[in-house]
Amino acid sequence: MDRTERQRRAGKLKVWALVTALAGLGTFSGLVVTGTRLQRQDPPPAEQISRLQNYLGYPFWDTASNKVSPPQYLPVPAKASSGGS
Amino acid sequence: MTVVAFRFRAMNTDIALLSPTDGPEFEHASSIVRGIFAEVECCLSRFQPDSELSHLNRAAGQPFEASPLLFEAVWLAVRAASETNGVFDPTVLSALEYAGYDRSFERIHAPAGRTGLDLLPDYRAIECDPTTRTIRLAAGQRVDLGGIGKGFAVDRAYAASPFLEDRCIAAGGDIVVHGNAENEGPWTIALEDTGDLEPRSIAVRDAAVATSTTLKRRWQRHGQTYHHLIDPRTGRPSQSPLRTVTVVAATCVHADVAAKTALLLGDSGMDFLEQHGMHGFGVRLDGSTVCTSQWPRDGG
Repeated sequence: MDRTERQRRAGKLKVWALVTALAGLGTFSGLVVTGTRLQRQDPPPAEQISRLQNYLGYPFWDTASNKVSPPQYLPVPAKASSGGS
Repeated sequence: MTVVAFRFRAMNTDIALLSPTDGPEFEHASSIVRGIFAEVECCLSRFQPDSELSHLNRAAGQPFEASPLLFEAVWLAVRAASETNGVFDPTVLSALEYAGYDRSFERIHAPAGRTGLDLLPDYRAIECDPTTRTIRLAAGQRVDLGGIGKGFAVDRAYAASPFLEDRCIAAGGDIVVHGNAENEGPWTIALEDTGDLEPRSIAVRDAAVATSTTLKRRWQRHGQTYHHLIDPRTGRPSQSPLRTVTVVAATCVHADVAAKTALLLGDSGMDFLEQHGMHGFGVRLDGSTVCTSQWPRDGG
């Protein structure tokens, strides 16, 4: 094998090694991102079902649980406004 | 101490976090609230083609594995529809677009060119499996979560910021308050539509407030005025004798659903609220007012 051929093969090898390394890095990053997302967002089904059955601590439309104190009229400037949307 | 405010825009409305407590806790809560609204909007917007809700709607007829956020929102909407016998229904999207609301409201200039409504809303066709977090819409069916989206985001933001004891989170007409405002006084909320009565504010403690109205998001089509509140029973904008209903309840989603339901029910709307232990105030089209039994009656 002459010198030119060796250099050509060595160059090919470098490119292949670089591509392989980049692909590996990409796969690893993807796994890390996916893993992070799964850890952060996905509760187990049982936990999710519990959350759904008991929305913020209030069983949906449970009359007793939904009780809140009635509002009062106050002659002061309001902090927020409820005008609908 | 005066109330400090963090304001930003999301979900096509003005969002505010208010508290008499300034400092690192407020800064932290501000960051959380902004993040939650961004996450909810990105997931639930029907106007963003890449939102997860848009993907779900395009997958109608096929099982769709949803994120926990989308699954919870759809589950809540279906549950609310079931509890209101379909007076609240998240499958009104086709009817809403047929009425002309087929783009973000600021961009409605001309009526849509649709020729007919071929599918009436019917939440009963939605299948939700919490064990696999899979949603299946009927073929041709599409969901709009605009009815609870902002309230859902407010509730999540509230639940994620318990370290800030005294706070008010407001997204348009959807508001939740906890603790006190300045000088240990209650949080006060202005009612934008009081009909024939003088303008007034209500004071609430540890509760959520939502208002539904047909006075906003209105447009003209074929010489007629349309609005965004679709009655799922007819598939057309509501013809209710009520134009505005405000509800005080335990959570913003409860208040949101109840306000829309009471408005659509019209004359029996206040009875519905009474039966569910909520407090409500309504304004009829002629400006006269109605309210539940414990709503304050005095002139304020």
